[in-house]
Amino acid sequence: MSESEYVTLESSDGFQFVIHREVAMLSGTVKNMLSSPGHFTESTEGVIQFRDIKAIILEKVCQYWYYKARHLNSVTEIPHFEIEPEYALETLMAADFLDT
Amino acid sequence: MASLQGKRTVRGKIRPPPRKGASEVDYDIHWTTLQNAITTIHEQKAHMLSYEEIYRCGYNLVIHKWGERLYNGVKELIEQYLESEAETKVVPVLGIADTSPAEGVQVLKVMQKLWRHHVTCLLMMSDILVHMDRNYVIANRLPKTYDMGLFLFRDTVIRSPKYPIQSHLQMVLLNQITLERKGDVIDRGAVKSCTEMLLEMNENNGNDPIYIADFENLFIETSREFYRVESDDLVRRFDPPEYMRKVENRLEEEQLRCSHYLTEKTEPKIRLIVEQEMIAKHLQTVMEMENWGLKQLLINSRLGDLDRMYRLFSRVPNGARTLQGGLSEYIRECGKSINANVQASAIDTVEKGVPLGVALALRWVQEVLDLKERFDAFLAKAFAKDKSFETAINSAFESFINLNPKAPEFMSLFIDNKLKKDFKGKSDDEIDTILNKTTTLFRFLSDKDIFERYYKQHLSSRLLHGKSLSDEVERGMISKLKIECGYQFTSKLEGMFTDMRLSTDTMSSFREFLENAVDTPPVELNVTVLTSTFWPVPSTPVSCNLPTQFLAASKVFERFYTSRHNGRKLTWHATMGNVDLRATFNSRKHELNVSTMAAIVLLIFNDIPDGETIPYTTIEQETGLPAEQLKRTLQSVACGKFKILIKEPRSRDIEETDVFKFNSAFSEKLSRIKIQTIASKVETSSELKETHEKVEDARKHMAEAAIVRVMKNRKTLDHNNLVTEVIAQLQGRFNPAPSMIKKRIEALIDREYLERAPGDRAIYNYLA
Repeated sequence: MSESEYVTLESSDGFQFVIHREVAMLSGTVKNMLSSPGHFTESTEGVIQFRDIKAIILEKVCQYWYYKARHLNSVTEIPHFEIEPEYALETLMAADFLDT
Repeated sequence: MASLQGKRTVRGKIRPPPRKGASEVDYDIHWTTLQNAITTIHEQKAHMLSYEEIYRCGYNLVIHKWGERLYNGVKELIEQYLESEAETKVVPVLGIADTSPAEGVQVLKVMQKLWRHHVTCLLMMSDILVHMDRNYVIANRLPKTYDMGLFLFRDTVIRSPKYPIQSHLQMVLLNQITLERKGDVIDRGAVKSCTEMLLEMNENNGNDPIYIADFENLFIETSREFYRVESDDLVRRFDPPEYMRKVENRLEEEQLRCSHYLTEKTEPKIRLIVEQEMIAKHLQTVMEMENWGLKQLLINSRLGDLDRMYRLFSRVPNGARTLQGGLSEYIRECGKSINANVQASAIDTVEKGVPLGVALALRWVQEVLDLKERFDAFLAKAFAKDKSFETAINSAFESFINLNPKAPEFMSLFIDNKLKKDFKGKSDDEIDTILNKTTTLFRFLSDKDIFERYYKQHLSSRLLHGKSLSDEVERGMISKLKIECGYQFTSKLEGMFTDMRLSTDTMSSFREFLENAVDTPPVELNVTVLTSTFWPVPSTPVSCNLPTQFLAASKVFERFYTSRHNGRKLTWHATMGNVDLRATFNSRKHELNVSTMAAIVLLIFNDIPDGETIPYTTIEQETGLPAEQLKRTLQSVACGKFKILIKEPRSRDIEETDVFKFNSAFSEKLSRIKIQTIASKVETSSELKETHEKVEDARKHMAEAAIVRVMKNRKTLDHNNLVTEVIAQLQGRFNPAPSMIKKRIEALIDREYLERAPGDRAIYNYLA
């Protein structure tokens, strides 16, 4: 199976986010999911369903991964990453779940 | 973890996430999912699972404080699985190992398969339960899922309390190794994978792999037994070279075994076993074996085997020393037989009244040199130029060389002979090698002062009789001695050379002086002026009645010399010189070069008519020579190659009743004939005694000088320290006995150089 450059993330409310595989792997949980020797369904199908994360949160998370990827080895000053206070707690929980 | 950058303080509500009830029902749902997932993994169907789902279950259980139940649940599940696997897959094949050692490898293969599968499953489980590992497990200091799984494998499969898996596994592994040691081909891969498995699991302390307790200890024990039996057997069946080859092979095999399918950590341990059992325990046996033991190897110069012996013996403590002991013993034995040969022929010749031949001395030195050369070759080619071996070999040489009381004399004679004859036509390099070798032997001498005495004697005869082949080589030898023993040792020898040079100068100015002188001496005269302290000349010259012409000539020189060097006293040692005579025989004239003593004897025959005889006693009276010298001189002119005198009755030895007459019928091809006095030879016993007395005397002086030097420096010193220091100073020349030093100290006290400290008799004070 040739590995696609992208993976599809699906939120609990049915939204799909297609993002770079490499970026998604910034999450420890996603990384395990895709690279475990068990070859779980996620890794064979390239689709990950998050049954506990809503689209609005998952979008935030994706934004954060891209933000992190861009600034990972940056030497210049890093801009702030905005999180709306009303979603802060849920985002935090998702981050813990995703090991990000 | 989330590293949300620069969270600004924003006013507004933070909505709490919808709380989920943590109820018993939820646990059951999640756990059932997980349980099924783990079973699926064990069935190798993981690809059918959704990671997200299982992970979420584990995650939720942990954040809802069910970590402990989850952890134990997983543990129980794995344990059950392993137990059933062990029962269904491993136990059935154990019987194979009991019946056939060779087929035992089946057990290893089954174990291996189970282990591989288990590890893969564990990796997957770890991935799923990563949240539990990071939170619950760390907080409670438990082994992580993977490690827990390894422990479970160890305790339920390898060390199963129900089934004899452990003992069978060990038995199979050891059997396989034994089979290989006996020459069979085994499945190394299977053994290797099993040892790797044992290496991967740790004891509870987390440091030592169970490999050590479950395999290595046993392996070492059985190997010890194996090699104990084998070495006993091999040593009996094979000769040492073959045995050593086998030992070497074994060592190599074990090393390869460790690197191929055990572990490098076992290597030093098993090597130690082989070394102890096969080498250390058989050191003496192998070395002293009748057939092809050390002695035979040395005799036959089996370099390869000696080298092997060296390498093997050096591996074990005491091995090198034992080998060195054997070597020393052999060298001493050889030395003893060389000495004995010489002594046997010495006794032989002394009984016949003939002085010991130079040949004997030469043979002795040559034999020692040959022996040394052989051992130098051994050292370089078989013993890796090992310093401790060099020392052992050298001290063995030292001990036997010094057992021969004539060693210093023999060595000096050897050099004498080389410098006089043997070096003719040899290249500088050849000469240098021979001299170097001789110098190494000289290094072994403990009585270097005796050697010096002889060397001085031989050197003086070479110089005075012009017998030395090359001045350069002489000087070369002396500089070698100087390197060995320092300036003091050779200063007198060098002084002898200076005297020779100065004499040449003196003679040329003497000839100038004669051109203007009124009274020229009746004969041509050549004088060598020697400094008495440098040369081994007797303090009083040998008495003789010089013919008047000789006396007149010497007077002229005396006058010349004292005019130049006022205050110097000349003592004439006429007997040490030689004379050119022109003799008229019936057929022709010959020029004879003879010693002064022979000239004196021959000149007597000038005064009597041809054909008349002179009895020995008359000659003795006329010449005034001591009997011993006279006899030797007569022997050289009457019994040698050229018979200038005819002795009645004819025989080899001179008796006091003999009579002599001039041999006018003498004829020879050459017009110039050199008649040698009997050459320098090994001393007679009386000479020997004399030399020894002189040496003793010189030693007394050296010891006293050393004592005074030390005391002058220290002012006060106790007896023991004084003796040690004096011995240290003198060791380069000879080995002084402490008792001798004690006597010298007492002599010095008598002469008031030293005094005993008042109050403590063991302490001496220096009296300026």
